[in-house]
Amino acid sequence: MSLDIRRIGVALVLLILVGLPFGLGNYGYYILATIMIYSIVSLSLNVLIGMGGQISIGHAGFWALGAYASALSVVKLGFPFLLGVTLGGIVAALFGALVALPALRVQGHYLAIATLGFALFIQQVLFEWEWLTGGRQGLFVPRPALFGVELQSDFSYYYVLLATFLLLAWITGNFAKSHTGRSLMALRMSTIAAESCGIARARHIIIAFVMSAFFTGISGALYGHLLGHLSTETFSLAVSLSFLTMAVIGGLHSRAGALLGGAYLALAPEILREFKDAQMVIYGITLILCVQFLPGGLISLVEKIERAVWRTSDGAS
Amino acid sequence: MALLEISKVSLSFSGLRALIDLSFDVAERGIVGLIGPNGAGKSTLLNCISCLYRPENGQIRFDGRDLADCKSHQVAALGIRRTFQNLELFREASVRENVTLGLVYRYKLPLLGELFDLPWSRAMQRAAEDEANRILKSCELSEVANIRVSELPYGLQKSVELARALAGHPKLLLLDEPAAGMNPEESRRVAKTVRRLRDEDGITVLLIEHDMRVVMTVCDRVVVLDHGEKISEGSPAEVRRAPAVIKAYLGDEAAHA
Amino acid sequence: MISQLVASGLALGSIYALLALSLVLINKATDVVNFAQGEMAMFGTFVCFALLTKVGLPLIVVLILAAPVGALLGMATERVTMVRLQAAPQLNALIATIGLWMIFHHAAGWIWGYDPVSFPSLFSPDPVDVLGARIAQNSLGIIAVSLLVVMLLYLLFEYTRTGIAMRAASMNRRAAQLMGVNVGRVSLIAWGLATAISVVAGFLIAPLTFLDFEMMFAVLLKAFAGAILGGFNSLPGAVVGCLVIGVFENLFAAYVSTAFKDTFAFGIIILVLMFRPQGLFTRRIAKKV
Repeated sequence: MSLDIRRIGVALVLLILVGLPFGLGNYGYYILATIMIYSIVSLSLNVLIGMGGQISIGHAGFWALGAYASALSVVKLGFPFLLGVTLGGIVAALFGALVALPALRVQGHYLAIATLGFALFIQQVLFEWEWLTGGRQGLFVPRPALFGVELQSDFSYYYVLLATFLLLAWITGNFAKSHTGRSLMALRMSTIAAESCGIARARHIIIAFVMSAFFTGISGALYGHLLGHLSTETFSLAVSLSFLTMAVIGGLHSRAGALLGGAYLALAPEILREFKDAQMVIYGITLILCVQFLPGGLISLVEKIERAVWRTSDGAS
Repeated sequence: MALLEISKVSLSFSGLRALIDLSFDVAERGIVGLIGPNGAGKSTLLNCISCLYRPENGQIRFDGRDLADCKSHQVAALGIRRTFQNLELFREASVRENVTLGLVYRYKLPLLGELFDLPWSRAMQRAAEDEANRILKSCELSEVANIRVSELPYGLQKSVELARALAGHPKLLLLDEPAAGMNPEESRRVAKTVRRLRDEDGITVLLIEHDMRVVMTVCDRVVVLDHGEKISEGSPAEVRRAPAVIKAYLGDEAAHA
Repeated sequence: MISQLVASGLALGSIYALLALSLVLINKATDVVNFAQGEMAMFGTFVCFALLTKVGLPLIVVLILAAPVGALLGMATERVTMVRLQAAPQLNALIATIGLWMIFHHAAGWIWGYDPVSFPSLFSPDPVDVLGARIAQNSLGIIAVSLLVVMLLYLLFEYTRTGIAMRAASMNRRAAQLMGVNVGRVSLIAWGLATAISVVAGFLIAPLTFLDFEMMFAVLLKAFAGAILGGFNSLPGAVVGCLVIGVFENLFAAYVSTAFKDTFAFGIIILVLMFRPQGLFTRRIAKKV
């Protein structure tokens, strides 16, 4: 696969992402913004599950922590937007380190339940601490503001989100090429072999959880400013499961897959608006079909087509 | 002081005594063979030395240092590397990646530098790459460097695992049945390689092996285990004649024949 | 007062125990944990309810049909989802069962609505006096059924060929196959049996809690906690673990906080996983190299 074709493909995708909002209305901007926000979470799961071989059905917990930490710092402490978002990421990251601890001891379904417990606990605390989270009224979040300028419309906010996604995607790519990232993947492939090569499991698992939580925390913070309002119902188990679904369906081992996953989660409720009740059922069905027939996610389908096209063009010449 | 000192090591698994009061030394630059019938405890001992298991009694000293509190990922830094009986490779990765992963622990890269692809991080990554290429070359694996290890034949896979262990420039190399599954020609090559590692690179080797030709030609000393106990120790020729050894492998009658 | 809490805690715990038995059963036979077990139980119970109200069958007939309904549900699900994942990495099977959770949980709401319905009980509502504590007859029935199921499963796994085949298949699939064990059939039977048990459990639980699509959610989590506490591979251990969870949950709710009583089960899970992941009754299993 020629590097040039790949570069052209990436450039094309970037062009599309930059040009998309033009011509769409307010609602279109909102959907695009949501795609970016979900794609960031998908990236975070790529790191944790795709690279680290871990599992989480509790990422809504990190999302919530990021959202509330950021919103509260802006509303109650007067933090500027960017600082608030960063704080959201950091708070989530700290909890990520905590959640990593059970992961050091157990894997698979035990770990999944532990992450589930974490998310439910966070949701419960946020629900109980009405003085912090606003109870039934919820918490109002002001519009995002960059360098003093308030971003009134979602059109400009979309570009901020796009830039954030691209930055985090770039960092993820660097991580995958880095020694730490490759050591993490080695641990996933064979823990015993990796440790015999001097790779410390604990350190890398904690890094994976912290990174994943950080990204998701940032996404949550950004989401709060998009919605303008936070309520604890937003951060339910269904959300954690939807996150897992989108990451798997998009592709756990590819950043383009993360984007696809984000698009899936943002667009599916629109497409399935007729079947609102059956939405989660359909997510479940697509998840199972994906895991059975396309474990690499939708992006692996794209790659298969790429390879087939490449092969036929070779044959032709 | 020997490089590796095993003193009265004992270990049992739920009542099954795997190692019983085991003691022997491995001198620096020595090649010691560990032989014995299946289930004798040979792999268990290797697992103790590489700190996958902890002995219940006794002590293992490497380069003067007690390994009692070491975790399995810490022995590489001390200079101990190993191969595995059933191959523990990074199957989805290429040969080059397997070997590179064998040496990354020595490049202490700051994570932030790596995440932002800063110049000094890139320089260290390139240095690691160069070193890996050198190892691939000296192990004659350059031609297959970009192939996924799961697609390689068994013999080459074993070479990759060895190359990965050598990537750490170990002082002590633990080999678990390096000639297993090999034909006579391949076994000869394995024996040559092991001797070269000691003669040219000064690596001390402790190897488990069932192929007696390899053991006899390559080892300075041989330790024989049976049911967790050491039943004989000495030069290959001495051990081969010892009645206890013959009895363990062939039974009572053969020993007294 | 305490004896009342303990008694009703035991009753509560035996509800969790029935579900935990299903979880452990599938895990023992196929090394997969079915996240969706509770939801499948709830779904099956809704099917029973439909048989009761739409088809108009008498309660006792529906009770008899509950196990076969569950068995069919379990086997059909296994054939459609798990068969193709036998050779895949563990993570994929785990994700598939999470998908099943999503499907059954929301399909029940979609088909039968979201309002709780009242489910008739086999037993009379008068509580019985046991050693100074008052327990609902329904709860006693659940305890009895739990113990019966534990005994039967224990006999199955220790003494029957099918049971031994199941244990072999879960420990080493390839080896079991080479020894002539039909691992596909083992998986099928395990799912059928486990779901049969859990639908019967749902049938017994529904009169106590109202039947609705959220019914089994909390139960699954506590069943999980109890199974982990008891050591996931031990059937009697799972029961004991669940009884402990039930009692402690009641005590926690009475003396500490009712709001956090669900998350308390997670506290247990985390603690056990951190300090003794093999539970109280099983030995640690490490991979041999």
